[in-house]
Amino acid sequence: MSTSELAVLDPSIQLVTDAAVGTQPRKRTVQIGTALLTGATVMYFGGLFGAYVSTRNQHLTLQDGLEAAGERTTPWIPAGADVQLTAPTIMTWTLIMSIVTMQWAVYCYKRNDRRHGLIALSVTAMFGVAVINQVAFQWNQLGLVIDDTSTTAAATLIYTITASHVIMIAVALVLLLFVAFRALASSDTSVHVDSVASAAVFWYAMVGLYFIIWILIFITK
Amino acid sequence: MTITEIEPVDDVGPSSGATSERMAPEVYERLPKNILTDGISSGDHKVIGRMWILGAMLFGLFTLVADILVRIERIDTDSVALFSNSFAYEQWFTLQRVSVVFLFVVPLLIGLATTIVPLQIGAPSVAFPRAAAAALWSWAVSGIIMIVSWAIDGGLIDRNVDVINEPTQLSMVSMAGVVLSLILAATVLITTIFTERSEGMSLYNVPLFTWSMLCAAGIWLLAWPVLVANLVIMWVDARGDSFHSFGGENLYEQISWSVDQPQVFAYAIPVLGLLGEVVPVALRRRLKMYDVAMVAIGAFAAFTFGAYAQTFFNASASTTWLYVIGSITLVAPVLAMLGAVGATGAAAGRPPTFSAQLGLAIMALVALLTGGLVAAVRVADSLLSPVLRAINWVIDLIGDAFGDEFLRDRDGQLIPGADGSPVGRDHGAEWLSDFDGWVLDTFDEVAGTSLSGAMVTLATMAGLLAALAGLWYWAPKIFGRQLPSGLGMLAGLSILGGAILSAIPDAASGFMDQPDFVASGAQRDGVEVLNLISMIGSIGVFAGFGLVFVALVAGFVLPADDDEDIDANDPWGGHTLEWLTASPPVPGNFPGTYVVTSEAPLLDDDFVNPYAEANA
Repeated sequence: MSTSELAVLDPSIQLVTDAAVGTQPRKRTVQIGTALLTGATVMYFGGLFGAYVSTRNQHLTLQDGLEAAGERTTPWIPAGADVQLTAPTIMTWTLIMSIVTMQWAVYCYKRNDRRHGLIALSVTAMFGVAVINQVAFQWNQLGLVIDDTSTTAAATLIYTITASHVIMIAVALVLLLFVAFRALASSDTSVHVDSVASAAVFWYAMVGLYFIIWILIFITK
Repeated sequence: MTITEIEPVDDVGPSSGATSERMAPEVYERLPKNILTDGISSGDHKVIGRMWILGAMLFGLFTLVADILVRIERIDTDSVALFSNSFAYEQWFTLQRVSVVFLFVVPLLIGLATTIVPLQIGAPSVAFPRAAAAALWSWAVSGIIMIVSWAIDGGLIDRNVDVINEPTQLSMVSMAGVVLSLILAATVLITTIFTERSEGMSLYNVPLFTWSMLCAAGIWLLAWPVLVANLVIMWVDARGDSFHSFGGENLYEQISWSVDQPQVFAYAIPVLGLLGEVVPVALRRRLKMYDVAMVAIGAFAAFTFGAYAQTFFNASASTTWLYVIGSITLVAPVLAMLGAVGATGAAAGRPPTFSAQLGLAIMALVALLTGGLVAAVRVADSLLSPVLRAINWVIDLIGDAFGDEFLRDRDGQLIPGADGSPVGRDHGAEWLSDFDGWVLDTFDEVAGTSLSGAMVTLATMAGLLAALAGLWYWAPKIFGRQLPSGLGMLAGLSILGGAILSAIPDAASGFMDQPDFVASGAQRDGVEVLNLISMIGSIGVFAGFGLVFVALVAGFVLPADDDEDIDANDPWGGHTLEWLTASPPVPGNFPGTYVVTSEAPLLDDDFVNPYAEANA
C-alpha cells in the first residue's frame, strides 16, 4: 500500500509533512525542476548580457560622435583598468575540463561505481574552486572601481556579471556536495542518477555561460 | 501490478459518505484554528495554496488603497496636496504599480493553481512541496520588507542621483526576493504539470486551466529572471559612491517593462484557461475545438513575453515590429478562444447554467479584451504610419505606371501633394498625408501617458477577475463549501465597472498629455475631471474587492446548503478529476491513480473510476 493511501488511513503517519508521496514513480522530477531553474538562470544572465551589450553600444556610439566632433572621448574600459585575457582563458579551459569530469561522475553513478563517482565529483569541485580563486585574483588585478568618474558603466556591469557567475559556481558546488553526500549514504549510487544528472545540467549551463562571458567581456571588451 | 490496479481502500475513499462526513470536516474545521501550526509547517499543497490566496488578498487590500490615494492626488494636477511632495507621490505610484502585480494578482493566481492544478491532473501533491512552502514564506517576508522599505523613504525613486539611500537599496533587494520567490513557485507548478499527471494525460489533453497556468508560469519563468538581473544591476550600481548609470530617477524606468505592455498581459493568461473550464461545465458539454483553445492560449502567452521591451536600454524597443505586431494581434487568440466557446454553446443548443464563476469569467474576458484594445491603440502610430506610407508608395507606383490621370480630381486638376506641389503622384494623395499627420500627432506620444496606466489597470483586473472566477468555481475544493453566488456577481460587477470607469478616463486623459508617472505635468484642461472619474472607479474596484472578503466570511459563517440533490463533492457537474475527490480534499487527494484519455475524463464513456464502489 502506498504512503498516500496510508496517509488517508492514518494521519499520524505524516511525521514531517502532510504532503503526500505520489503513488506512481515520478519521472525525472528533480531533473526537470533543475532544468527549469537552470533555464531561469540562463535568462538572468541573458538580461545581464543584454544590458552589457546595449550599454556598451550606446557608449561607443556616443564616443564615435564625440570623436567625429573632435572632442575628448572616453574608452569603454576606463584608462586605469587592466582587463587581461590570460586568467579568463585559463578559467575557460579549466571549466571545459570540468565538463569531462562531471560527465565522468554521471557515468560512474549510473554504473554504481561509487568510489570513482566521488573522485570525479571531487575533481569537478576542485576545478570550480580553482575558478573562483582565479576570479578573486582577477578582481584584484582589474583596477576597476564602481565609484569612478570616467562616465562609463563598465565597472558596474563587469562586476555584476562576474560576481553573479561566481555565485552560480558556488550554487553548483553546493549541488555537487549534496550529490556526494547522497552517494556516501547510499549503497547503490544508481538510484541517485537523477540527482547527479541534475547537478550536471546546472554545471554545464554554468560553463556555457562563462564561455559567453569570456567572449563578451574579455575578448571583445 | 500496474499502477491502475491498486487495490481500492475500503471505506476511506475520498468521496465516500463515511469519509466526507468524518474526514473532510476535520480538515476543514482545523484550518482557521491552527493556522500557525498547520499553516507554517505544512507541505500540503492545499494549505500552501490557501495561504498564498490569503496573503495575496491582504496585500491586495493595501494595493487598492494605494491606488485610490494615488488617484486622489491626481485630481489636482497643479500641486501635490495629499502627499508631502512629488517624490512621495512617485513612491506610492511605483509601489502600487509593482505590488498590484507581484503582491496581489500573480500570487492570487499562484495560490489558486497550487491548490487546484495537482487535483486537476490527479496528483497527490505538488512536485516539490517544501520548495512550494519555501516560495510562499519567502514571498510573504520579502513582500512585507518591500512595503516597509518603501515606507521608510525607499522605493524605486531616488531624490539624489549622487547618493542612493539604504532604504532604496533595501527596496531593490526585497523586490528581487519577491520575484525570486515567485520564480520558485512557478518552477514548482511547471514541474508538477510535467511530472505528476495521471496516466494517459499527455500535455495535449490537460485541463485548460492547467494548460493556461503552464503557459503563464513558463512566460513568467522566462521573463522574471531578466527583471532580477535589472534589480541586481541597479543594486550593484547603487553601492558605488558617485557615478550611477543605473540610478537616480531611472530606477523605476528600468523595471517598468515588467508591469507594462506586453508583459502585463502575461498576468492575465489564466483568463482564457478559466473560460475554457467554466463555460463547458455551465453548458454541460465538452469544449468544442479544444485544440484551437490550447493553441490560442499558447499563442496569447507567447505574445505577452516582454523582457525584450526594455525602453531603458533600447529607446526604440516599443516601435520594433515584434512589439507592434504582438500588440495588435494580442486579441486574436482571445477571439479564437471565444470561437471555441461559441462553438461549444452552439453545439449545446441551450443556454448555460448561470453561476457566479461564469459571470466572473466573462467579466474577466471583457476586461482583457478592453485592455487588448488599449494596447493596440498605444502602437497605432507605429502601425498606421508604415501602412499609410505603403499606400502612398503604391499610389506613386500606379502613378508611374499609368500616368497622373487617376490622381486628377473631378475638375481634371492634379491632386496636390502634402507640400502643395501640383504633382500629386510624387507625394501621394493629400488626404493620405493629412491622415498620416493626424495619426502621428494623435498617437505619437501616448505610449508614455496615462493610457499606459489604463492598460495596466485592465490587464491586472482581468487577472483578478479570473482568479475570483476560480475561487468561486473551486470553492468547494479550496474552502470546503460554496461561496455566495450573489455576492460573487456583485463583487465582479463592481470590480469590472470600477476598472473600466478607472481605465477609460485614464486612456482619454492620455490623449490630453497626462503623463503616466509624475504628479503634475503639461496636461491639458479637463484632465482633472477625468481623474476624478478615474478615482471613483478605483473606489468601485476597492468596494468590489471588499465584497469578496464579505463573501468569504459569509461562506464560512452562513450554514452550508443542505440541498440533497447537490453533490457536495461535485456541485457543478465538473468534467475533470478534481471533482472526484472530497470537498475539501483529504491529504493525498485521491485514494489512488486514474487513467484518463481526454481533457474531460468524467465525460468519457471509457473512463473507469476504480474507487467508485468504495465511494458509493
